[in-house]
Amino acid sequence: MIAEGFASVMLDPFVILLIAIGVVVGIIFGSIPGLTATMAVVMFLPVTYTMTSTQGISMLVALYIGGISGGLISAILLNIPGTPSSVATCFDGRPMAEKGEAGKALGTGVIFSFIGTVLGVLILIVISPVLASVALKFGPFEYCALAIFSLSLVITLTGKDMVKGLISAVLGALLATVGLAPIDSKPRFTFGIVNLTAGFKLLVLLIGLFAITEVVKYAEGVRKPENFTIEGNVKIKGVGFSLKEFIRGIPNAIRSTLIGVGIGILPGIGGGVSCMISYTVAKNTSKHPEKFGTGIMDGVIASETANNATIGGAMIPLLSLGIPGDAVTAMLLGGLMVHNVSPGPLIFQKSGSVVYGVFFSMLIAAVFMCVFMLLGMRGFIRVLNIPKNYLLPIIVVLCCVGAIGDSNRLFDVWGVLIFGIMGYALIKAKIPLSPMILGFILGPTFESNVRKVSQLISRDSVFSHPIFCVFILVTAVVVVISLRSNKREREALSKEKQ
Amino acid sequence: MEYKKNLIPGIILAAFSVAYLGCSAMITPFTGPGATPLDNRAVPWLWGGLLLLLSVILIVRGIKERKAYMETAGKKIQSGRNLLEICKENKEVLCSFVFLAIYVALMEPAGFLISTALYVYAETVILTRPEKRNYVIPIIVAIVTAVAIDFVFVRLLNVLLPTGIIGF
Repeated sequence: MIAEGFASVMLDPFVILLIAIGVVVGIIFGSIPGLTATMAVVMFLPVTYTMTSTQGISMLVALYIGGISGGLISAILLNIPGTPSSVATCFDGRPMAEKGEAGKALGTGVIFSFIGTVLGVLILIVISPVLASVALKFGPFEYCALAIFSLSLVITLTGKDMVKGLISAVLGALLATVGLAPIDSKPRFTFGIVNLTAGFKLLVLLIGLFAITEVVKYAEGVRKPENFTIEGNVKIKGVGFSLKEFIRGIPNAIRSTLIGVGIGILPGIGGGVSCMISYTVAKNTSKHPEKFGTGIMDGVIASETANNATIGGAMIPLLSLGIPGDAVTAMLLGGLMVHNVSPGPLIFQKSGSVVYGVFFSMLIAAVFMCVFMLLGMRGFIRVLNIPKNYLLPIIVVLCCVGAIGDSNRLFDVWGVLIFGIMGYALIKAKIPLSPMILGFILGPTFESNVRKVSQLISRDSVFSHPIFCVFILVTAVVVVISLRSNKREREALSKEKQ
Repeated sequence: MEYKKNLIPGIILAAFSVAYLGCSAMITPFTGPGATPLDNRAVPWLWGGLLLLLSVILIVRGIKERKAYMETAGKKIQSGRNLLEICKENKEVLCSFVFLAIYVALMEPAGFLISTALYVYAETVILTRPEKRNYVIPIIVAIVTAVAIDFVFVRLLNVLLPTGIIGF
C-alpha cells in the first residue's frame, strides 16, 4: 500500500503539477486577509470532481498547506494575519519588519512552517494507522461515547462563551436531523419536500457558513477606510538567518510542533489557538520573556511551527475516526467523500493506497511551499494588492458550481444562500460557527449509535466496554474543569467591570 | 447596547426551538421490530429541548444586562435606529444576499452563463468602494469569468450546469 501510494504520486507528473498549483493558490489565499485556506479548498473542490482520488485529494491538501503557510506574509508585512492561524506571527513578525528585518522574519516563518508541516505529517503517518486499528474495536457504545466526548471538547474549548458554543453545536446537530432517520429511515422535518429527504449536505453547510459569510463581511466593510501599508522593500539573503540562529531555534520548534499536533487532534480547535498557546508557552519558558513582542525570531518560530504542525494533527482524527479537527479539515472530509474515500477506522484497509498517496503529497507540498515562498516572495507580496471586489464574486460562483456539481441539484445552491444568511446572523450574535460543523457531523454519529446502544443494552452491560467508560469519565472531567474555569473567568470579568 | 446580542438571538432561537419541538411531535414513531423507547423522535426532542434551555439562558442573560444597562444609562434606553436606517447603512450586505438570491433564481431559466455574468457584474460593483466604482471594467471581468468558468467546468470537466431556455 505504501509503495502503491508512493507510485501514485511520484510517478504521475500531473499529481505533482496539481500539488504545485495547489500550494501556490493556497499561499495566495492564505496571504490575502479575508481569504482563507477553507475558501481555497471549497473553491477548488469542483475542479477535482473529475480527477482520480489521489489527484483530487492531493490538490486539496496542497491548498490546505499553502493556505495555512501563506498567512505569515501579511502577518509580517501588513500586521494583519492572512489567516487566523497566523495571529501570533504578528506579535514579533511585524516588529522585526519595522526594524528592517522583514526578510529575516519571512525566512524564519517559511523555514519553520516547513519544519512544522513535515514533523506534523510524520507524526500523522505514525499515529493515524495506530489510532485506526484501535478504532476498529469500536462498536456502538464506543462511538456513542466518542461523539459525546468530542462534542464536550467543542463546547468547552471553542471560545469564552460556553452557552453560545453549545448553541452552535446543538444547531448543527439539529440541522443534521433533517431527512431520513438513522436505523428506521423514517422521514423527519421534510415537510413533503423531496429534496429534503436526503438531508442537508455537509459541503453546502460549509460553503454557506464559511464562504458566503466572508463575502458579506467584506461587503460590510466596503465603506470603511483601509489604513495599512505594505512593507514592499523586502530582501532575503539565503533563508534570512544564520545556522547558529537555526540551531538555537530547534528546541522551540520541537515543543511548538508537539503543541500544534496536540491542539490539531482536538476537535473544534484550529491553528488560531495552537499558535497562540505555542507563543505563550515559548514566552513563558524563555530566558528572556521581556524580548517577546519586540521583534525576535523565537516568537515567529513558535507561532509558525505550531500552526503548520496543526495540519498533521487535524488530519489524524479526520482520517482515523472521520472527525474533522477544524473548518478546513471538515471541508476536506467533504472532499474525501466526493472522491469515495470514507474516513474512519477502515480507511487504511479500503483506501490505503490513496491515504499513503496523500501522506506523500503532503510532504511534497511542504517542500514546494518552502521553495516557492523563498524564491517567489516578491510575487506573493504583489498579490496582496489583488482587488478583492473582483475576486470574491468569482469565489461565490465557484462555490455555487461546487454545490451543484456535488449532487446535480439547484436545491443545494438555495441551501448555500440560506446557510450564508444563517451564518451571518450567528456572527452578528457572536455565536461561533465551528462548533456547528462538529455538531452537524457528530449529531448523526451520536444518534445512530445511541439508538443501537438502546437496542443492545438489555443483553450487553456498559461495564463490559472499558473504552466507553473511559470516554464518559474523561468527558465528565473535561466538563467539570471547563465549567469551573468558565465560572472563574466570568467572576474575573465581572470584577474588572466593577 | 450589548444586551441585544443575547436578548434578540435568545428570543429567535427560543421561538425556533419551540417550532422544532412542535415538528418533532409530528414525526411518525417507529414501531417495527427492534423498536425501543429511544425511537426516531428521542434525539430531536433532546436537541430541541437543549436549544430551548440554552435560548432561555441567553434571554435571562440579556434581561440582566438590559437591567444593568438601564441603571447605568439613567433608566433611559435610547431609541434604536429604525429598520430603514439599518438597511441603508448595510446596503452592500443586503444587496449581496439579494443578488445571490436572484442569481440562484435566474440560474435555471436564464442558464449558468448569463446568470453568472449578471451576478459577477452586480456583485463586483457593489463590493467596490463607492468612490472607486467603475461600471465598465466589471462588465469585461463578468463576461470573461462566466465564459471561462463555463468552459472549464462544462466543456473540460463535464460538470452538469443549468443551460437555461436559451440553451447555454
